[in-house]
Formats: sequence, C-alpha cells, structure tokens
Amino acid sequence: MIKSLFYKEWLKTRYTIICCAFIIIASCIYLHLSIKHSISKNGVEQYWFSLLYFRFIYFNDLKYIPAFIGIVLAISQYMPEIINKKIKLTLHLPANENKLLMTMHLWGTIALSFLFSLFYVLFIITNNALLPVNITFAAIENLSLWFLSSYTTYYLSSIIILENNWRYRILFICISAILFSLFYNNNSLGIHNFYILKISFIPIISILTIIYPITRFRKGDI
Amino acid sequence: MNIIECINLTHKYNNKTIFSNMNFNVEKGKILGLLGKNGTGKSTTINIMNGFLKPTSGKCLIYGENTQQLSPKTKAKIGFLIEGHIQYSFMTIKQIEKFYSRFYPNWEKEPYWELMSKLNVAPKQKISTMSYGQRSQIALGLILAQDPDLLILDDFSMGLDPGYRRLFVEYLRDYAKTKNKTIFTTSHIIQDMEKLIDDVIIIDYNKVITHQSINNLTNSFKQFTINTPNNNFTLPHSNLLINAEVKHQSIECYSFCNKQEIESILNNNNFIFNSISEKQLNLEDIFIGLTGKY
Repeated sequence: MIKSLFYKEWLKTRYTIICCAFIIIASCIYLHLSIKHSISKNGVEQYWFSLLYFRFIYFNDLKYIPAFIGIVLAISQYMPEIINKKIKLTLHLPANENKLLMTMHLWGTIALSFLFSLFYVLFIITNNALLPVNITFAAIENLSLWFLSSYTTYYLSSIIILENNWRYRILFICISAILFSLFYNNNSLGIHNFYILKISFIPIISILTIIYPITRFRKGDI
Repeated sequence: MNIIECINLTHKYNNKTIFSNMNFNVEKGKILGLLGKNGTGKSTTINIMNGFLKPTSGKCLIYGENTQQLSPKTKAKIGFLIEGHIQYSFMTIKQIEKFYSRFYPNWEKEPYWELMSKLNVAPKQKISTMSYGQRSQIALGLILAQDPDLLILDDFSMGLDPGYRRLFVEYLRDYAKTKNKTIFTTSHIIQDMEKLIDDVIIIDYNKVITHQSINNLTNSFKQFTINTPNNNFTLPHSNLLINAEVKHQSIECYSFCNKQEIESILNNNNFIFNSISEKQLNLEDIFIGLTGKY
C-alpha cells in the first residue's frame, strides 16, 4: 500500500520537488556570491564584526524560501485530489482512511526532509568556504527554525486546500498565519537553546489536522 | 442474498428533505438502476452507499457492513465509478494500472489492456488529455481489472457519445452476467439503462415510486388514451390514474391497471367516454408517466 501510494504522490509532486531542488541550489549559489560580494566590498573584518556583534542574519533573503516550498508542495500534492473530488478515489481504496492520509503526509514530509537535507548540505558548503564554523552553526539554528515553519505550512496548507467550506478555510488561514509568525519573530543570528525544541510541537500537532477536513468530507459536511 | 440493504434511509440538506424512509435491497447477481429526476437524491444515495455522506437517519448496509464504516476487505469488493468517469488524470494508462494493481488481490490486467488496445492512445499519454469516451473506457477497464463483486456506477453515461455509451453498456452487461456480478447504477439516459438493468427503482421527491423488475414494469404499467364525446369535462378522481393530462377531446393517463379496470373506474365516476386505447411503454415513457414531465 505504502509503495503504491508513494508512487502516486511521486507522480503528482515530482516536478515540484525538482523545481524546489533547483530553487535551493540557486539560493545557495546566490548566498555564496552575496557573501563574497559583501566581503570584497566591506572587507572581511567588517563583515565578521557585523555577524559576531550585531548578530546580523546574512542569509535573511532566504527566509521565506522553506515556507514557500512547503506551500507549493502541499498545492501540488492536494490540489489534484480536490479537483473533481478525486479524493473520493483515494478514500475508496481498500485501506484504512486515516492510514491513507497519513501515508500521503508521510510522502510530503519525506520530500521536504530530502529538500532540506540538500539545503543543509549546500548551505554548510557555501558557508564553510567563506565563514568560520561557529557562524555556520548559529546560522543552521535559524535555518532549522525556518524548516520547521515549512513543515507547518505544508501540513496547514494541506487542510486549507482540502477544506471546501470558505468559512472554515478562512479560519484555518488565520490560525496558520498566527502559528507561522511564531517562527519568524527572531531577528538575530542563532536561536535560544530550547526554542526550536519547544516550537517543534507545532508541526508535530499540525500533522494530525488533516483528519479533520476528511472526517467532515466523509460525513458530507464538505 | 442481499448485497445492498438500505433501511429507512432519510436524508436532509438544511432541513430540505431529499428522501425519507427509503427502503430497498439489491440481490446478488442483479443489475439495479436508480432513476429519478434531477435533485431527487440519486447521487446522494450513491454517496451514502460509498460512505461519503452520513444519512440523517437510517442506514445502508453493504455485505452486512454499515457503509459509514466499511472495512478495507469490503471496499476491495466494491468497484466505484464516479460521475463523469473521474480518474487520476495526472497519470498515464500504464501508471494508473500499476497504481491500482497493488491494492486489489484479484487484479486481472488482461481485461484492462484489452479495452486499452481498442483506444487510440499512446501509453505515455496523460489521462487529462483524453476525450470523455476514452476516459470512460479507462474507468471501465480499471473496474473490470479490479474484479469487484459489486459495482456502483454514478451516472455512467455522463459526457459519452452514443457509440461509447453502447460500448460501455454492452461490455458491462456481458461482464456482469458472465461473472454473476451485482451492479447498482444511476444514469440520466434511460435508454441506456433499459439495455443494462434487470430491476429498477424510480424515485421522486421524498419517496420511492416503484421498485420492480423491468419486465414486470413494462408489462404492468401502460399509457391509456380515453376519448370523450365532449370538450368540457372534469377528470375522474382516482389514485390509480397517474399524471392524467387533458388533450382536446381526450385524456392521456398512465396506470398499473388493465383496460377493464380503467373502464370500471370511469364508469364508477360516471365519466362518459367513447373508447379507451392502451399503449405499451418503454422505460423512458414509464419514467415520464410515473414522475411527470415537470
């Protein structure tokens, strides 16, 4: 069952995943060139000084890329399911419905994890070529927080897409916006030790929200 | 043995009753058609049967299981055709066969590929780029490959040209009769249904009008034309005369009664008439006769 569902999800999302991988590669190349440019313009001492003392987030331009990836992945995966109510085909498959939905989410989670692994690797290579390891570690904390926001936007975008009632949809969008903002209230390099751990509960709980619109769909409320 | 049992099924949308206390069974090996005008609850019934809608009250059982909690094992025995032959349009014919085959233990790919060989499509062509007719053959092929015991088809003729409709009906009937399959179907094109089904349920707003075999229905329900000598008359009152319509010097009505019974109804009402003629009806005329034109 899992293999077959993954096959379907792959067919829906493959081009999105490939495009996102290119966006990540392009972002890291841009970041590398941007750091190089700043160093050559201001001098390496000045640049390091601003990073260490002002805790300036030098990769702030990449801030919303993970969230964007989460949203486009959710669209590419769940939009084809709601067009002509194709979700009926999925729910009619001979398997537990919650298991089917969670397997679809698992695919999205794996796809995001793959993309963020690529992001981490390229980011570390880009950074280590120009900056000290300590700065890279601090930057990874910021990046991890944004990645968590991406998982959250992916899960919450899924329910917004699957929801057919506009009142509920607007409610979900408002809740998502509030939760989303929690990931972006930090404006300095590095994150407080336990903040990432605490906030990781949001994407974990968001995973289960997909059951709600589908339960309503099965009752005929959607 | 009853494959489908709907017991006291009632459904309301925002206090508007679609149907109330609807009861019917579908026996094994029967092909049953559900006919009704737009908005009488055909798709609602199908949605309840597939577990996509919770009825306001009553229940629907398939293989003895409530359709609200169908087990995966029972779902595997049900082939479901969504209105408009909807399938995963982002897949090709090869990909979709590969996808479904892993879910069904009795998967037989031969009937699917046999149907696909009749279509002029490339193996790598996406379903989204195909015509309605071609999509209907894909949906049919997938159901046949699944080899379900029960087929639930929601408006199978929607969007199909006469050729594809004929192909669909002939293929399906032959398959169901050869393999003793049960079919529950709706369609808005009644001529197609006549060629396919054994039994019919005709529903109107809120109720089931009739549930019987096509043979019984066509033999028992007739149209009568009652010719009268004058222009001015009032219609005789009887529940047995259905959808009576005044036409110049005659009355057209429908009834389950025979000619002699009609005559006695008219005589009991002191209705003066010259002659009565009766007409054998096809399923579409029977449907109109029972539900009216409006």
